[in-house]
Amino acid sequence: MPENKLMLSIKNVYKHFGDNNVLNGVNIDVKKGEVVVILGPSGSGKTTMLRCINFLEHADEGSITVNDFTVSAKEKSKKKIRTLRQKTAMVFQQYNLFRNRTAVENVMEGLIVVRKMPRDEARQKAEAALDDVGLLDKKDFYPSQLSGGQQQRVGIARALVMEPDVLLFDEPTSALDPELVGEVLECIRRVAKTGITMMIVTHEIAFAKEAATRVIFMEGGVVVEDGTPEEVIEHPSTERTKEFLQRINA
Amino acid sequence: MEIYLECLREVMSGIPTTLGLTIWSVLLALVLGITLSFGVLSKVTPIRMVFSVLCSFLKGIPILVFLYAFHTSIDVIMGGLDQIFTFYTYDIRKPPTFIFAVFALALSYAPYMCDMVTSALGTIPKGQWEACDAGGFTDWQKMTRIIIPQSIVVAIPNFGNHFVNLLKASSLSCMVMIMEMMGEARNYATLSQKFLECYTVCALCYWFVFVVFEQAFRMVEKRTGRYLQPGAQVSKRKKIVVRRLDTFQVVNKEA
Repeated sequence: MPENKLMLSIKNVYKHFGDNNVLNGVNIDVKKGEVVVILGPSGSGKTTMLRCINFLEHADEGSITVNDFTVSAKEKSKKKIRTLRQKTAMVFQQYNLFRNRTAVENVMEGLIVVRKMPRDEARQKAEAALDDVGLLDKKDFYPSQLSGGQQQRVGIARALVMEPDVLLFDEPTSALDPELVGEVLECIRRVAKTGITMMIVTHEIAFAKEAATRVIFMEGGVVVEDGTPEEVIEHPSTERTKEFLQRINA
Repeated sequence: MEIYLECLREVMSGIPTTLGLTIWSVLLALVLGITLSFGVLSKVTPIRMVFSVLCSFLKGIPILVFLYAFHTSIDVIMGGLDQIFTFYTYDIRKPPTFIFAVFALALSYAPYMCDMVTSALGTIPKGQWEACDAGGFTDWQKMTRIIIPQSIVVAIPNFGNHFVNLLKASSLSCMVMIMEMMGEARNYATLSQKFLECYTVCALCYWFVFVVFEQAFRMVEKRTGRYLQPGAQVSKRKKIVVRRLDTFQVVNKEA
């Protein structure tokens, strides 16, 4: 597979909620192995855009392509959407671990249900994944018995174990206590080094600067700026980006 | 003293009938309630409206009305059915009283069971559904593996309430000559002319059966709800839940 293979392509995506036009024609192409961080003020459509990728929100117009499999707003079916979703995995702001499953069962669930893997094999893989995020000793704990940071790391293990083509992070640290943010970011940083294609919506500018290979700034439902972390964060070209970064740094 | 013991024996002899009525009608009400909930949760507006009205209608009718209506007119109703589908081997016009009493109780409680199902589903956070969707689960996998198991846990306290309410409501069926606990008590009271004694014994018997089931449901509740957030429980329950969690982990570590 060539290094610059296109993994994710968002074409001309529009989305509105009632009178509110959230996305006004978003176009993003992501190559294999890129770690894309999406920045932008609240209400700029970052999260909606991310949720349109796996059809948790259905775009009004446009199409999504993941690893050569395309689903468009015009031609979508339950089955096509499910196939697309199986090529992606998502880490949620509120973790969304299955409450009736222990940590290890949470990680196994997708392997058993979606990949049809035998239970023993799934358990082995799940335990390895939990080990990767440093939570093997908590494998038999229910989500309610884990801290936010630990839950989110289980969430990351659950997403990783599916070996998705694209890994989506929806504000993975926004719901955490400040002291727990570090462990989750560290975990994401390690995942980023494995060369998996990632798209992260976050407010952690410092993290974006060091871990991302590419930063996108969104505002008013469109991509305003797109480039390396250097270009966008250190030397932003538009006034709006500068303003936003100043306010965050202040 | 003898009158109490004699009465107790009479009332106890009605316990199997009371339990039979309760259990069968609870099961039937649950099946009907789940069926109703499909209609009430339907995305098609006309279906949803029809089922909502049906629920409201069934809820608004006293159980005794059902019982008397069936008791006096069951042969008319079933006779009509008999003309539509001809049953050759069995005269359906006179079903045993027990069966239509079960139907009367079940019909009255079906809308409550329906409410129980819909509200239990409503308490499952949106994130649980989305996590399944994002993982590429089918609707069936999502419901059977994640949503329904969690809903059952939420519904158990409610179900326990309906169960004991039905247990008490089953006493109404003595009005259509079913000899359950209340029927036996009334019978013996008339016979012995010791009304206060007999109904006191009857009340105590109902209380006893009630406590047995109440405790049973409480135990099930605690067992199944152990994964739920300990912090979300009331303070007195919290300690129990936490302790249960601890023992659970110890067991797991040993395994």
